[in-house]
Amino acid sequence: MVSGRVRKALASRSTGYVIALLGVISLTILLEPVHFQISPTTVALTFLMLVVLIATFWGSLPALVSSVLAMLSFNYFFLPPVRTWTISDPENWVAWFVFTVTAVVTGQLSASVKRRALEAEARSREVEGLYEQLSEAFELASETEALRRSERLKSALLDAVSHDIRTPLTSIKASVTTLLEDSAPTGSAGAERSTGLGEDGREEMLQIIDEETDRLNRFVESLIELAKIQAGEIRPKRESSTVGDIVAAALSKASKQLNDRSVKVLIPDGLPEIDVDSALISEALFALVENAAKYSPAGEELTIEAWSENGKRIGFAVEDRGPGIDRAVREKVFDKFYRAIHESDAGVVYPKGTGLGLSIAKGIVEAHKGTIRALDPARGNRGARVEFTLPITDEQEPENSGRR
Amino acid sequence: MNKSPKILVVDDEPQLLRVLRRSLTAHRFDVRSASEGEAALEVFNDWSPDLVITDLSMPVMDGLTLCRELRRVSKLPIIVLSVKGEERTKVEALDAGADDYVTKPFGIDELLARVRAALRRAPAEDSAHGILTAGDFELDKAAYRISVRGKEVHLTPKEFELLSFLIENRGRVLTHRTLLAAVWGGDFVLQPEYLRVFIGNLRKKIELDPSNPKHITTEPWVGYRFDPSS
Repeated sequence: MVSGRVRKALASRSTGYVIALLGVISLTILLEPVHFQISPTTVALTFLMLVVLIATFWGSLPALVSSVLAMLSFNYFFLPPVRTWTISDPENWVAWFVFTVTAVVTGQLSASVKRRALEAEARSREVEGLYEQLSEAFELASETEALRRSERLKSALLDAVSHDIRTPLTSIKASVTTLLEDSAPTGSAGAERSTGLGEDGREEMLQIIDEETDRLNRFVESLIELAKIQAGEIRPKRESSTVGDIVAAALSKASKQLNDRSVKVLIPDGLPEIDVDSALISEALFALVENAAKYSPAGEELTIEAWSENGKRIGFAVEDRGPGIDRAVREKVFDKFYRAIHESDAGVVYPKGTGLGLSIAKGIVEAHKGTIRALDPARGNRGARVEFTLPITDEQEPENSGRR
Repeated sequence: MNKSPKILVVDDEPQLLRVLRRSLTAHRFDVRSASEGEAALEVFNDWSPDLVITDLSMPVMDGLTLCRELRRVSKLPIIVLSVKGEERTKVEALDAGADDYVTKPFGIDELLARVRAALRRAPAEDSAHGILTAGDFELDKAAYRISVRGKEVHLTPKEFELLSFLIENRGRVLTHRTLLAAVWGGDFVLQPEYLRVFIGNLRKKIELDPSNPKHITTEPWVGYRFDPSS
């Protein structure tokens, strides 16, 4: 084994000169006794090989030295008259000259090839190093960015949840304390100035408490539902259902949100029955209707539409005539707690509702192996359209049924 | 005061407006409401209320902008309804001229107490003979004297300015910025440590128990409030 230090010594230039000298001498000793049997051409080619080797391993200067030494040896030992520095035959002059030029040029060329190879290798190592550094930096940056974004998302989620909980709580607390104060014995602070709530007032306070506790409960329920969907706990109980029943169920659930708004329902005749969890799908459709009602002006008509795609999938869509959904946020509207928020000096203004509806719908649709998306309206040039399509049956039904 | 004080309530949450309307009406206030700042300004112009209670985050015109708009034309007391997480906006609203704040969710008695305090303070601004008497305190600006519980306190000029500003703005929540700008001028508004030292010294001179102050109370992260009553 050649140790690192020896290899380094071998590689150094002074070693190259020594090798050049030794090489020429040994070749001379080797070839000199047989120079009558071989032609000067063979000798010249052998010397050339040595020069090329030295050029390749030790660079151009040792190669030059070996060329000169080989030229001298070739002249002295191998070109007649041998053992003299003179050359008699003009042909041999030419041979000597050609040899010398060839040796020097080949030596220099091989050396420069070698140098270029080394340079190229160094460059590529440098590029590789740079690339590694760069990708490390990228990785670090994207990790930081992801972390920063997830932190921001977390705090936005927290803000949204606390807003959704605190808003009803504020009304409840104010109502309850109003009732408490009203029933407090006279003489307590401010009571002497109070006319009392009266029967009407007490009734209204209680009504508000009732409504707002319902609102809180709805929020908690949708949070739990979403958590279940996201944890994959909801497995659709598929059964044969009709599109008409699903739409009717969603509309009846949305009667409060729709108020007296007119809804156009477009369901073509002859739609196939679908194998879905009709309760869940009508819940998803309800979320779309609720969302459309929330973001379009009161009184503007909504459209609910259903269709079949090649008899393999069924689509549902809800369209409104509101401001529409900006292209940039069409993916985001399905994120948890995303709302079309209005940023103002005083922070964020939340529209009514929880901002959970569309993400619940997405969860349900995806649990049915369907897809959901937000689009431009299909009719008219104003408004938003949210649609989802579902496979009519679950092809992997047998596999799934065992796990239910 | 025979006429019922007029209160304008501004919030984008209809249920809360319902509660406050009922509750304040039961306490003999005349109440109107608006769901955002622009509507509130219209009501203000038509009706000239005695006090405004406003939420901070609302669509169209938010509470902070409303405070600024109102302060441009009126000195009426403004009480801000804020939630946790809106501290910065709340302080900005106080800087912009709001008098006080109540944090949601709040008990109605707390809101009523703030409303009464703000209304009580409002008409007492003009002082007879240049002497302002408020609770334990008597401020005579012309004679450069302040007395607490009948005894004159010895104050440095800056302490005098700070205390007289506090007495004149008793009951209001005064932000660090407001106090610094009022007493030291605009250049010092970024150095609240000045304020802490002076408030500490003032407490030693006017409080019965400086470690448990009753007159100059701290509003955490916001500023100070001065209560002259004994």
